Amino acid sequence: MVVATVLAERRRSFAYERALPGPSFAEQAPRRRAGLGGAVGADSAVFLAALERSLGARSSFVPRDSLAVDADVCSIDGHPLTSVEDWWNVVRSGTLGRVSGSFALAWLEADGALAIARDPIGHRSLYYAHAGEAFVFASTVSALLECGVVARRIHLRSVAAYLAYAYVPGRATLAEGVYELLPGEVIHFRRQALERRMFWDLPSEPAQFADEPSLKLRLRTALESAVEQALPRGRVVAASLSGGIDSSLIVALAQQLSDHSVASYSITFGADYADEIAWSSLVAEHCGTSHTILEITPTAVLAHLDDTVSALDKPNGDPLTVPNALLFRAMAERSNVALNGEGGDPCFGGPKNLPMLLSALYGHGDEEGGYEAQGAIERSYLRAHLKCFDELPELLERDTYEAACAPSLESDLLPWFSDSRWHGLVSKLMAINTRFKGGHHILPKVAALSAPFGVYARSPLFSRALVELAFVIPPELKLRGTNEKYLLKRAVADLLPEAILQRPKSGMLVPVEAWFQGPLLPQARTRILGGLLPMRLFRRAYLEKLLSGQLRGLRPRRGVKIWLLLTLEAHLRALGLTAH
Amino acid sequence: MKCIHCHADAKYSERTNRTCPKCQHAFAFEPKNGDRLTDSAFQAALDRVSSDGTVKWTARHLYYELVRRTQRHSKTRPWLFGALAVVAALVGVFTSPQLLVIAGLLCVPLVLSLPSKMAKLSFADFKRLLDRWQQAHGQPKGLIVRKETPRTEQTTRALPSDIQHYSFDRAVVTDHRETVDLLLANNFHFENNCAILTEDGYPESAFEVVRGMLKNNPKLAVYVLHDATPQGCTLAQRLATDGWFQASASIVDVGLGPEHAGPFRGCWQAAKPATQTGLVAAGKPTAAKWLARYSLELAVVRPEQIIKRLFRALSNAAPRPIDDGGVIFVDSASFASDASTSDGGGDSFG
Repeated sequence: MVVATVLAERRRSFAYERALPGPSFAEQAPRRRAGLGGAVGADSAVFLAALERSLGARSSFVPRDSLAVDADVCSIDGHPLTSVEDWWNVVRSGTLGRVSGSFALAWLEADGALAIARDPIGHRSLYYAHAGEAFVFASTVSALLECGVVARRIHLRSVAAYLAYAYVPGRATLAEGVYELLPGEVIHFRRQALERRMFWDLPSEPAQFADEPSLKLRLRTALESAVEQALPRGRVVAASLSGGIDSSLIVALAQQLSDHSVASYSITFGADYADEIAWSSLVAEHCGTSHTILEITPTAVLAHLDDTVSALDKPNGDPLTVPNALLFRAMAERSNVALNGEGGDPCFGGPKNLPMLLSALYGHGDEEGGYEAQGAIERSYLRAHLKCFDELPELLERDTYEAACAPSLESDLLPWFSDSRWHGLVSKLMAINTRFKGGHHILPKVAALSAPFGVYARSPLFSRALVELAFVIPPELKLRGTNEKYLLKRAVADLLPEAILQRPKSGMLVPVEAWFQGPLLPQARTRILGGLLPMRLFRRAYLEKLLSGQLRGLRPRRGVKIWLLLTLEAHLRALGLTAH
Repeated sequence: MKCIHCHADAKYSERTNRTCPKCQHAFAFEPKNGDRLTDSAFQAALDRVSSDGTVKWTARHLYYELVRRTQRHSKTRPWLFGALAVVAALVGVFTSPQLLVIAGLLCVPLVLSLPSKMAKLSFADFKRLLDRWQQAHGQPKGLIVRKETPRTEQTTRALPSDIQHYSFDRAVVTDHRETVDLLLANNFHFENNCAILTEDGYPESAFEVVRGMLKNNPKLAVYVLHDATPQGCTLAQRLATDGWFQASASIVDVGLGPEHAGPFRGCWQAAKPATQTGLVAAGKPTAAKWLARYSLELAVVRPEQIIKRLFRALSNAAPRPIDDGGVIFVDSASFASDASTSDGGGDSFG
């Protein structure tokens, strides 16, 4: 009753909308952002024709165009890059490493080599396949598969990685033979061979850090600059607002710096579930934004699950994906630019650091050897995702497990935790999270889910300048005691209510446990048992146990795991991938 | 007797050399030779203490599980039959000889119940049972075995260089190394941003660093888990006054006290020697009186229930700070009620 009253109050204070099932996202095609693609070598004409069918005629293709770019808010040394000629100048002068902004770029070199590049942080994505004498690239994995350059086979290691991380980090995708360009990487295809090079890499930790007051000032200046660059001129800007420190500071700065109004959006899952509306409403009121609360129902989630998964290039097991997509759909009614607070956690000392520190102190479980044991901290990192890392042997068929997990998943993390560029654990985690969660998870997700609606999702906290600045802030100014994002909060303390700066930690809670005990369980059963089991990759006993509520343990996290498998099934189906 | 491997039911004559005639696996126990348990009963205890293999546990937890199981056999009420037999005999002598027959019949269960009233299983006997189980079936899944390593090795372990700058959201302080082992083995620390340590310096490898880090969080929430002993029941008070944390930290006593002891009567032990002044001063003379006679180990509570009790305490509203007049918040809800209200953990500890 109390909840209902509070919600009614909110509805009176702000616009309250319910996200209803609507037309499929594919029907938004006229609004879809254009991409790019290209092919060289054998059968390139056939591949190009197929890419055009898949990506649409508004996209750019190499070698039909000698340079193709998908860019948003790019600049070099403060000068905007707005034309193809600007980009040619960058390429010819070899200054790609100085470009800021979101871009995927492809061009033909004078010697006939094809080059592709992706922005340093990973705001835009590019995928490629090298088969025989052909090299094909595209903005989407589905376009590459549809052109037939590789067979539609499942990459088993990516399945295991997905089940552990809820996304697939690194170069691999779920499709065997299809790869993701790394953030800050340029690949040349020259004389039937690939040459890979990083034109930008994550900075090292400095030998000495500047003092707190000067860093605080630099951070505030950089925040203002990043938000200002992300704002559209003379138009309303949309912004997601959870009420956490990151999205709140973006909204506050946008409201202060924008020449137009800010349309902020929060989501709720209805009166029966906990949400953060009280916090986001406080910020919206404080900043004076035009605020909308969007209610996400399980019906709408199920109706648009396949749509959402189809928009993503790599599987994403975050239960917020469909709500994210529905939010972009709602935002598109007001603006084609949507700001978000992504990046605050990995760059400025957000959650997940503390569990890793505890793991360093105590080891994990009753593993032999504690922190120093080979792979111990890497395994802890995988477990910190709270998905299925420890359950892989029980979840996957034995031959699948052996094929997917040899060498072990933690072996991919060894170079990161032993990298001498970063000394303390918090700094190492920042580097890994910026690359893994930023470049392979969060940024591709927001770019892919906003694209169908023609929206440009911008993440100022993941701007290159702020990422570079984050690496010269000492770790103890990110995590101070248990105060997460200490310096970030100090830098914007004047912009936000004290309650937001002091609020207890909380993530966005998607009620997957309740959904899969009720309205979504029958569909989940049908899709998981009917779709995944016939592939003979998963053990029936585990899936039955999971779906029938028999999974035991102190915290079985049943809903999260069902969601993980549900989206995997949808993803494999969308891409038409098979196991054998 | 059933084999725990192939579930074949083998008669005594078939169990030559204590092996299953069907699958040839060894039996750990032979009740015909005086063992108090069958392999199936021991396996049932393992399943229960580990919540069907999902929770790790220490030997002490299994010991109490077996104490409960062996004591169930002695739960017939011979005194009731005895009293009825005496009444029937007395009345029968003066009225009806048939009542004398009934009195005789009532003596049968009395007599039968006497041999099954076994002495309480000692820990030394339990260790022998566990050794025999391990010889026959290997180390049981989930058994926590403490890795004793020399102090010199532990102290040279390389911790992240910046770790002393950080802290924890919460800490569990306990009077038992086994409790630390239990929580660490079940990753309680990892999933709850929680430091875990004993009052007396365990685990040695991390103790000094962790104790220093505790002071970095003025809002630290401390949960105290302890035995029902004078030392355990005054642990929260000692922590509050001995400068372990900043004064603004809060302390919640979620340990075992005399008020929880009822359902565990069969596991009570003799009192541990200690002064009672702390409890008397805290206005708990009844508790002090119980503690003067008895003690009860926290390990008597099944691991799942201990951890769920902590989960519940963590999710409750913020406790009062030390300097707010309350000093310590005591969570006095019984462990048995925790068990009945927690999801999937219904358990009477009978």
